[in-house]
Amino acid sequence: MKKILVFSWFFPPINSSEGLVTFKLLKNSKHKFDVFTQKNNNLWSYNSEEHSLTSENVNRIFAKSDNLKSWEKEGLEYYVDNSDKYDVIMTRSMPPESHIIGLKIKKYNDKIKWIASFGDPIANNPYVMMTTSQNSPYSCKNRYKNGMGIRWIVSPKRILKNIIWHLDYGRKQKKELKKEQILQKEIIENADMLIFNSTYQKNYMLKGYSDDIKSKAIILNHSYDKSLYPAVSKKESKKLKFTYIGHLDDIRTPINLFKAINKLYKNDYKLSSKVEFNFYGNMSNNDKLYLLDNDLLDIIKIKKPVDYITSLKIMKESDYLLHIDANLSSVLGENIFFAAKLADYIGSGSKIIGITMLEGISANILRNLNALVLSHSEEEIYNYLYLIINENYNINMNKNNLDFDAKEVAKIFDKEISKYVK
Amino acid sequence: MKVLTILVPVYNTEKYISRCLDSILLKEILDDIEIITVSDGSKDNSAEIIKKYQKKYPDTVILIEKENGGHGSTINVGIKKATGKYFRVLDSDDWVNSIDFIKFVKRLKKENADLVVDDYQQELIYESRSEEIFQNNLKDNKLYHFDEFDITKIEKDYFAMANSTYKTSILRKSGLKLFEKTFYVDMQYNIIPMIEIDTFRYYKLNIYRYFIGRKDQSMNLQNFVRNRDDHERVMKFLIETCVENRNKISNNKYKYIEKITFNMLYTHYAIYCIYFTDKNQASKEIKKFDKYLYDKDKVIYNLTNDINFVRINRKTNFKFLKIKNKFILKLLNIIKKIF
Repeated sequence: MKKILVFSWFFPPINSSEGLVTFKLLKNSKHKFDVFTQKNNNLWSYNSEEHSLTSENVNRIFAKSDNLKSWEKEGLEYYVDNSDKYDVIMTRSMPPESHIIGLKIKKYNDKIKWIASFGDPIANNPYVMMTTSQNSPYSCKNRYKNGMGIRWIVSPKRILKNIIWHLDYGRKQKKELKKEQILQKEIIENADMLIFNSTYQKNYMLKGYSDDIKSKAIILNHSYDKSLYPAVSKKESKKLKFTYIGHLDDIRTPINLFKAINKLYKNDYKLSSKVEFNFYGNMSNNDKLYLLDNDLLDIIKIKKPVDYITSLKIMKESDYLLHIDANLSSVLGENIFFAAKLADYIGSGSKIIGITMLEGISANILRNLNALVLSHSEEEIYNYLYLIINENYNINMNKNNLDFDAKEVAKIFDKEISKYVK
Repeated sequence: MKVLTILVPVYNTEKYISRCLDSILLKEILDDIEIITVSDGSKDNSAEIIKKYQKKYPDTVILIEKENGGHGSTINVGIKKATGKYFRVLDSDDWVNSIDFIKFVKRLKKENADLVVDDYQQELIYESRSEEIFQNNLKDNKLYHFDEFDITKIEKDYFAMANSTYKTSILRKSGLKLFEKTFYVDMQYNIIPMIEIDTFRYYKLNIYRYFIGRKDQSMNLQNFVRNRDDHERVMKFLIETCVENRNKISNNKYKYIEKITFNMLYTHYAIYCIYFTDKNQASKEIKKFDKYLYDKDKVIYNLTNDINFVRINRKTNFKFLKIKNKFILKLLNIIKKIF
């Protein structure tokens, strides 16, 4: 058994997917862990109520700081003071500051074994690429959208503003990207083991690296922990219950699903007596407005965020679990993001409907489990909802899903650690 | 007798085939339809997936497995084997709107027109939008006589594979045999049966969903360049069909197939004059084709003079004059950026 020091900004009691993923993995490992984290900052609107998520082999060390910069400093100081206690360090992003601590520790003690576990890519993150506007507001490309008149189009003022925007924006973007690329490269080259959650993510982040670097990489699926699910007795209800749990925003948007439900609702005024859709977690204001504007609140309900264990209970009680990924087709050919929630959905045993890119990690996992994989087409979603509600369309999920069982995933983790640390 | 045969050409579409079949295997119409899936030498799991459906719906789903012969070959097989009164093609990566499809099959049971047309839409996933192709100038359920019909009323110039349901007997009578291992054969499917059509009816039902998952799926100009030989083969077939039938069929029908031929000619010249980057090769090939067209038929040749880039390039004997001056090129680039 090894003693491992883990740096993770997010960890229970803060309710964040990054922390929960790490917690389930560590809890099921045979090793002992000290997790250097914090509980003062619930950046990204996570709550901090996960007090029940504890494990004998996982000890938490809470930093005093409440910002990333001083957390980074405190983490490094903690290691320097306690370096003789640990055989291995492990860093987990996001945010990437934990890896920065790893880099500094590696410089301080190059004998230490360092495992870098990645959440999202640090550089060239497709999600960020989608959110960052590449088009100048002064560009003629937006002439229809912005309602530009001919005078404004030919105006020297607009042309000048467009040039300045390009110079300024381009410089800032390039600088930021370069910084991220350098950081990611340093982490990849200096860590002794790299953990990715899928081959899609690995291939995306390690593109162009040598075989030596690639050989350091292992894939650890996100996982569910059977022991955490509360017992529930499924209530017999006339209504089909569809549930979404997790974060939504303007990029990962349920709008096509809402439009599909709206279309169904318009054709079937009794729909609200047949089905209900419950959404737990953050949702963008645009999407909420759509529900209001279209009088859909009878059928689509926005619920308050819940703690992790309650979310597992809700998953088990639902007839269908909805998984929604961002449509990144305009910047990426395949989806590289494996949402941690998907593993919990799988563990619940309920039927899953994935709205995702048809190529990529989520679609691949869901297809292998015989779940329903839908593209972001409103029409396709509409058609399948119709089939489920009116034609008794059935989803027969495979029960064999051990690849995502935390115990099995932790076994792979432990085996890999024993290879690196004699 | 089944009222409708749906031919589903399948080639390595394991990710999509369930969506396609789920949308048409509907309890209300199961007894009225026949689904012929033709696996065209698929190397993936598509056939295995279809077998599961076949087991569940033995009276409706047929699977034919054959060596790869291209999209056209699957349609040829389908027409031969079909037992339905009507015949429709549904590509395995596309699907139908189930609600309208049920209505469609129910209406088809009482139908006797040679052709039934409806509406369809393209699903452009990469842009998160749909594009509807509705026949807004036609009246729902009206029986039209093709020879008396104003063909300019047709949306997008012609009835496409996605919104056409032919009487199977018409397809057979027309002697339609699509080229094998050739792209663009849908154009053959769009014109040959039309020669035999007397009547058609329009159903205001939005049925077909044409799935475009990636930008390059619909707009990949390089694919046109790569498959230009296939394009030329089908192009020549269309030209010859026009020439052969000019004095045999009604003026309306001729104008219809001429319109389709003209549209395809536009694309054909564009492949060489616009998309093909190797301009020397492009010039060589298009000159040869242009001579073929001139020799074959002056009427169609003269029609293509209406296309600006064809007329101008003909004047220069397809030399594709281009700006070589680096300074001017740079300047043009800057102007493009500014605007």
